Amino acid sequence: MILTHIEYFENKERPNFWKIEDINLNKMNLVVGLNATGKSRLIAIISNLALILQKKKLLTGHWKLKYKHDNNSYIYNLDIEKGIVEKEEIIQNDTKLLYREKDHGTILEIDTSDLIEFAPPRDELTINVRRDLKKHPFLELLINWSKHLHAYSFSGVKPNEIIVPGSPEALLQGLNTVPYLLSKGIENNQFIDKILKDFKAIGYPIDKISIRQQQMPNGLSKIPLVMVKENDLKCATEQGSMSQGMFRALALLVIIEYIINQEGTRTILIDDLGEGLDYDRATRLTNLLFKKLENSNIQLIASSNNRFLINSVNIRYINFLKRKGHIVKSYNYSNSKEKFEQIKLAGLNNFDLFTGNIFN
Amino acid sequence: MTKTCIFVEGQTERIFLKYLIEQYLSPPTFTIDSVKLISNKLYTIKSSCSIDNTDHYFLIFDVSNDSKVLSAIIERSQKMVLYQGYTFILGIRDLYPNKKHDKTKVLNYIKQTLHNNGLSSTTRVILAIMEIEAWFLADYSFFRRIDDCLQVDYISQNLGIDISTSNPEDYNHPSKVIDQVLTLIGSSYKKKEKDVYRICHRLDYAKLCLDQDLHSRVPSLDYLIRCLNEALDINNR
Repeated sequence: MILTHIEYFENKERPNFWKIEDINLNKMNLVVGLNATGKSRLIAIISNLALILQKKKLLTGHWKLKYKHDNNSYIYNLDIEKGIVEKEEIIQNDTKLLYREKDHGTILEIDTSDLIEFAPPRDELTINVRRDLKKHPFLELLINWSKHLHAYSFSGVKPNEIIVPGSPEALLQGLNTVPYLLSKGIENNQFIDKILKDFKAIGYPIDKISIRQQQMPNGLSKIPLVMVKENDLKCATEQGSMSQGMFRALALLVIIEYIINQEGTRTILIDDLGEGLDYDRATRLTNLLFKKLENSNIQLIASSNNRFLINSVNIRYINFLKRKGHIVKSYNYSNSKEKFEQIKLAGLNNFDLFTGNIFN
Repeated sequence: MTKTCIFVEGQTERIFLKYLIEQYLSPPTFTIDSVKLISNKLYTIKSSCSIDNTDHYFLIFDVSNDSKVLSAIIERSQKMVLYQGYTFILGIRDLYPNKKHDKTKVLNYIKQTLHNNGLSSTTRVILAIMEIEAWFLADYSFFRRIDDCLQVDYISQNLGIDISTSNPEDYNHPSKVIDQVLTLIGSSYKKKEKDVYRICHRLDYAKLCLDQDLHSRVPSLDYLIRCLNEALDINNR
């Protein structure tokens, strides 16, 4: 399943009203915009939706999603207000599969083509209370999507912070769990070789990655620490001594290499991609990431306000956010084809979306 | 003193422009410096010792592959004019990889972009059709100065191209035409530094700068010279 469109709002008719309009997505996406336009918030509303679908949270918000699967187009509308599911709707092409308001609704049974009335609890999603692979297989699409969505904050990781994963699934929870992920794959030469190759390609020539088990005080279990041996250094560098940019890039490459080898379609969200890296390495990392994932089974939605990085990707992959008061509008190739073509034809860089007075 | 910054796409334009200015403004009362942008850092290619006692100062700013000419102009030119005393900004780029039929659209977008950024009065962007090598072909006599056998008839017989009557703006890839012609003497044109010097050293700049018939046939070259005159404030002297 691939997300193709997002609209979202919250707190309508209240002072803290916030809305984001017309996000059009491809398989590969870079969300750009100046500070405080809503990039991180967009990443959060997507990851929050996944948490809601997994019953981990019930957050207030109004989502309108469009997505594609097996040549079918779907719309999913979800309105939640203060813990109550106000509305839920799934449309496949032109067929309404589900319509629900608060505690009553109708749902299509695919095997019989019957439209069945049902009465869900007000505080539960239909998706969570009516799962049935035979009768409502369309619900599984969203469930699977939410299970296989991985959200990372590139700027939120520090070399001297490690998160101990509480379960196997939590291994992919954040970039700070990477030492555990790496210790799991350290014996896999193919896996390690690919990371070495990628790390070298973005400007960090290293000849070895290893894990050192650090004994913790007071009888706590050992924690793994990442060590890298740079080509031009005689000693290995422990993760706590790595620069933030270097560790972030390494952690991201490890996690991407791991996910890319997993089965099924997946979604990766990366906030603040390239933050903390120098110009050259940020550009190389972005190029590598987009190239690596382009032919994979992964949908990438990354955000950045690094204007040089924006130049590294195809202009068709860009959602350029502009905020006017409480409303964030996205400009992208789908809704602003002429303006985007203008950038290409005039011989402008993608980052002139910021500087070239294109959308004024 | 006039102070002009010329933003160019790469090495070929930088070398050609330096020759052109040197020949056009001879005898010298000018200074030319060149810088190149690599990984968002500026490197001096050749710097003059001093710009005192010069009538015209030029900075040829090679944006290389790191940026695009119009982007570099938007990013830097306003500060150059306001704080560094630049009197005029020129930009030179190829129409390629855009298609020939996009020419009017491209020119309009450039004009609109300059206007939107408040740069219309001090900045001109010249579009080579399709590549800067079209301006080399405007003086096709450089071929026989490279090798005497590369006469118009010989080229025509071997390649079916009459370089004396063809309009260089009509070629889709002028650089490939040059390469094809040089292949006749076992040589080539691959846009390498030595390839560009070999041609630029042999061009007739008086013809390129002053031949009005040629200018009417090759409007992009005519516009380049008119913009250069504007930068040099020649018409107001």
